[in-house]
Amino acid sequence: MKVLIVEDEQRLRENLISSFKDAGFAVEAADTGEDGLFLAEEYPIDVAVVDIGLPGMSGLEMIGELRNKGNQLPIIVLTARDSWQDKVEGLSTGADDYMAKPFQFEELLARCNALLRRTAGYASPTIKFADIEIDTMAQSVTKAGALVELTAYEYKVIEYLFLNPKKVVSKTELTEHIYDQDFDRDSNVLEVFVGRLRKKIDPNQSLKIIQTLRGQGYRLNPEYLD
Amino acid sequence: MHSWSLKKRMTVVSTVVLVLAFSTIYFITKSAYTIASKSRIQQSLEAQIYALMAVAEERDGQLYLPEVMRNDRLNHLNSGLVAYVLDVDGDLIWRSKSSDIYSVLPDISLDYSLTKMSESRLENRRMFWIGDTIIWEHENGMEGEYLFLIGEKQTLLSASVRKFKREVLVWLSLTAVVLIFVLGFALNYSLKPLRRAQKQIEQVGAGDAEKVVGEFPAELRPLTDSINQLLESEAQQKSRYRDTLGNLAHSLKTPLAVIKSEIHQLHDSDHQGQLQKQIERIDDIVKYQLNRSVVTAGQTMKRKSEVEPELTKIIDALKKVHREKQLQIEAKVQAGCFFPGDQGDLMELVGNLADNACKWANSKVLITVTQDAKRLMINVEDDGGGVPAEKRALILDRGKRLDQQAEGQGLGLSIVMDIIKTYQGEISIKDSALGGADFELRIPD
Repeated sequence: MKVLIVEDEQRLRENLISSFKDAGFAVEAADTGEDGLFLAEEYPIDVAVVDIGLPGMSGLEMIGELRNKGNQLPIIVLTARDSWQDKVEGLSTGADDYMAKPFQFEELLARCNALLRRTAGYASPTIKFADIEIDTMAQSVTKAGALVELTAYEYKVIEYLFLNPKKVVSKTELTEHIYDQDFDRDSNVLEVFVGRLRKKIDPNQSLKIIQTLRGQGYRLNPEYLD
Repeated sequence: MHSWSLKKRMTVVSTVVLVLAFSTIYFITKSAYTIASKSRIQQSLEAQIYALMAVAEERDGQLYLPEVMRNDRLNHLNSGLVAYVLDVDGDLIWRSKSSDIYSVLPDISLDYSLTKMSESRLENRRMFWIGDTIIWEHENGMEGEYLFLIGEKQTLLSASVRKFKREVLVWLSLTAVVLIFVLGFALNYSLKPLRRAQKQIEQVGAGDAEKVVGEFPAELRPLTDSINQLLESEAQQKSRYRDTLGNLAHSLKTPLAVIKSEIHQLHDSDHQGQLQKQIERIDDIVKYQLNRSVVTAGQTMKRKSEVEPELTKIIDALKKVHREKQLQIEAKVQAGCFFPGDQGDLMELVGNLADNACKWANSKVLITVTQDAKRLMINVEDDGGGVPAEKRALILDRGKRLDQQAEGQGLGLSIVMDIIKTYQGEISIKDSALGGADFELRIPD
């Protein structure tokens, strides 16, 4: 999952970047509304965290611009003013949720995850296919109730596939959503992740839950979709 | 002194002027008429007396006048005109036939003259007299002094004066009535712009209008312009104030957010928890004070905010924020409800209460707004666990103090109670028909 952070306060932006990276997100960051708008339009972003009080183009103007262009990217606004008038203004401009500064990172993360799930059409934080269940809050995977140990990147891969269950996900798309833009992309690495993931969640290869479509990418086995 | 309305003042002044003017006109006309009538009578009497002297003739040293006079009024009883000729001792020489009804003779001690009428009574009847003493040279060489007197009853004059008075009164009253109507119309016409200004200022004062609009006469324009300037500068000041608060909030809270994110990077320890707690306290105080200073109750110009559109916005926002719980958030708003203040305060009240209700609700939140002549009532209900009766007072009591926030109600209730206090409203907690709590706000108009 790729998060876009638009925050002008350098220290806060850096801390957010490192916290989101620790939480397994790929991160893009900008310090102005103009840059944020550019990144949101040009890169495959899954969720954005936007500060309202930006110099120049404000966060709300940036969101308004994105929505005007039909971009439905889920957005959480960070706001210093937390009167209901400000909240309502932010939400009616097109933000999907708000967080008043100062905030607890865990809560911001939980809301980002909730937004991602909602965008994918899930109401609960857990998503299950066959006997494999992922918990987007805990970022954990269980198979038939037993915990499966995954690395952060392995988890990112399965989470992205689970959140886009009906879609054929190309290797490029998957790479873009789990890596930062300056990461050295190598599709072989991705194949290694997917291979290891298959072994961990389906040791006997009886489920064949992640299918490879040659020349197109990966998808979840449609048999397990409701 | 009690200040009368302009209309009252002008009505009183015009009435007084009208009454004074008409009374003066009445008295002047009346006395002019009386004077003119008197002088006419005097002239007529003077002519009569010369006629009387002309017909007097002397016989044997005696003065004789004919019994029947050419002027018929002197021959008829009750004609009101009488004539006497007396000698120097007051003895009667001659009297007109018309004077036969009087048994007494006129008083000769009075100073009668031809040019000035004297007034005296003749057997209780008020009379005007003119008279002249002449010295008659008899043929026998003797001289006799005679007083020729002619009188007219005053009732004749007073009857004609009365008639004149009546006529004048009728015409003056008619004119007065017409004038009153004309004045009333003129007054209404002149006061029209004032009334329009008054109505508009009242509307602005009650929050029903943004500013005074329309063309006004030159005398009123400075007033209406000043009011508009005042309103505009108040609005500008308010928006500047909001901006300043916004900047202040931003410049205080961003560093707090940085500190918080720094703490997050630290390893778990006692210190981390302590720091976290202190930052939350600072944050609460900043939040409370900033929200509080925006409260606009008690402004010079009252603001009125329509409840329904604001409520719809809040519900949309709450539905987004609490999407996870898939709540049914409903509003029942009586048509045409107005909050007696700024929309920001209204949003803060409803937003905080409804947000709390959403946190506690299982599936449903209901916001009901009703208004009567005295107050606006807002009920926020949920189908959650409710608040046990014995805890209600405690929750409201804690809501009053920032450092003892009500459990589970967060800062929101403190802000609500603070706003309620400024609007001199009341808050109470009841059982909701939905099964949970019912927070009821009553805000006087």
